[in-house]
Amino acid sequence: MCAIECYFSAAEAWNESGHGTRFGHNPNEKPNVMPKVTFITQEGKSVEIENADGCLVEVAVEEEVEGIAGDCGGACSCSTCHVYVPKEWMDRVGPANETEKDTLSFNSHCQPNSRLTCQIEMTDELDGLVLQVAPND
Amino acid sequence: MSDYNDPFQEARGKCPIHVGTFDGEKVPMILRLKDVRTAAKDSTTFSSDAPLRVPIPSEKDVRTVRQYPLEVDPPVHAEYRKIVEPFFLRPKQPDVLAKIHGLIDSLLNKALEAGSIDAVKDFAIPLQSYALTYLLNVSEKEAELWVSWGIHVFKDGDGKSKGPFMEKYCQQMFEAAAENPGDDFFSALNQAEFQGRLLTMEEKLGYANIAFAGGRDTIIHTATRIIAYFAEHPEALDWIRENPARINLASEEFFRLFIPLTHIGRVCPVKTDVHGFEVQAEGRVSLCWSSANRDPEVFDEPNEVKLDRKPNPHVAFGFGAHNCLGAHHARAIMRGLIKALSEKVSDIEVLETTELVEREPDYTRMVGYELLRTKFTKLSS
Repeated sequence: MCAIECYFSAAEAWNESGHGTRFGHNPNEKPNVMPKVTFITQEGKSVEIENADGCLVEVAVEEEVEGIAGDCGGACSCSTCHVYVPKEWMDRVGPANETEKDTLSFNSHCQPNSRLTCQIEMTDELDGLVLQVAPND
Repeated sequence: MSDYNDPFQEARGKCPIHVGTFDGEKVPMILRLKDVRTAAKDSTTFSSDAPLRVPIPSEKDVRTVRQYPLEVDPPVHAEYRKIVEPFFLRPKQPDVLAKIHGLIDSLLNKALEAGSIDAVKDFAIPLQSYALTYLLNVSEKEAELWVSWGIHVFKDGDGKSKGPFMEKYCQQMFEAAAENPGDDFFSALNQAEFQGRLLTMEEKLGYANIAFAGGRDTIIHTATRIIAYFAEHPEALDWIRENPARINLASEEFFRLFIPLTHIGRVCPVKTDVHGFEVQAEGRVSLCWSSANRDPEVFDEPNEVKLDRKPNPHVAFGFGAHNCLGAHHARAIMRGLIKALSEKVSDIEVLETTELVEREPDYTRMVGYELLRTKFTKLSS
């Protein structure tokens, strides 16, 4: 196996192992795109996360964002990853899916701009996204 | 080997409720996910302020104390829950999680060295018992006694409830902790205040009662059913091994499908119409979690195991204010178990089984195993 193949295999294995691409190990990653997401916690603390990739709840849990517990591991059963999406981001983030809407409908802090981060995949289009962490139910 | 039959499938398709008979009482069982969630959130209409009667069948013959915080309503429920919440969050701490993983590794290593084991008695019961010492922050030695309590504290196979013995044991633990206070569950409750006063012994025993009884058979059955599943589907272990990030969603799918707790009760303080069935004042309804988790309106192919199912809005840990306090603990244990199996085991052979079946006049439901004799084969490195 040539050196370049070895490099790609290792990178694929790294990504497959669940470590994701947040640390710049993915050779297919576009070099100039470094999606950033910011969480504003209930206490008003701003948590900026560079190179955010994949499911947003995993991004937030890994960075230990206060108020994002993600207890169910992204299954959309617990609503412990509830955020509010600012008006200017609503179009790009998109509306909640039907299951998510149903789960949110039982949350006493649900608002029209509520989303569960376990249902949001980070994309280049969402670079610069700011999310307000919702109060715990 | 069991399939994943759903005893409520036909009834749920026809009607939002199925009327069952428990303790001589007609109880409407709410079957569909949205209805179950709605009822679980409505503690005014469907109250938990019913000592000994929240579980169905009732536990009036096996315990003497109200379980806290399960059998109280908001708003005092939140105050009661807050007192013990720090202990139930302990499995999120890295040091406690490491202990749970160490325990699983140790039990699995023993299983791999043995010719065969009963995964109930030799694995799941000690797993639940020793892991509980980490949750309650007491000496591991206490688990030696807890192991002897069997699968279910209140209704184990010999037909004799260990309930009275457990209550006496807990009282002794509170008394011992009063003599020598520490950082453990019993000492914390001795010192805890509720609305400006110390807890009564009845309240403390009520907390301890659910700590021992609530998370016992549920964890034991979920663990053995996961082991049995991987025995039948070795390719699923390979799939997890390929990408351990799959463990979390896989765990949730096991929780959804293998939920040992069929349902739980609520009491209607006044005469209430429940989907066309009139419940008299002080009569009960059932929130049928196990049926809600198979609702085809929400879950595609609900009787199939889909380890990457997402979304998966199951109610295996209940829903609303009373959602399971031990959910973090259960998740830590099952995620740890799947991780360890994928790292250490290539193959599991089931040699003998005795299923544990819940038999009620209106349904039968397989909830776990009384015996699961298995042989584990080590994964070659």
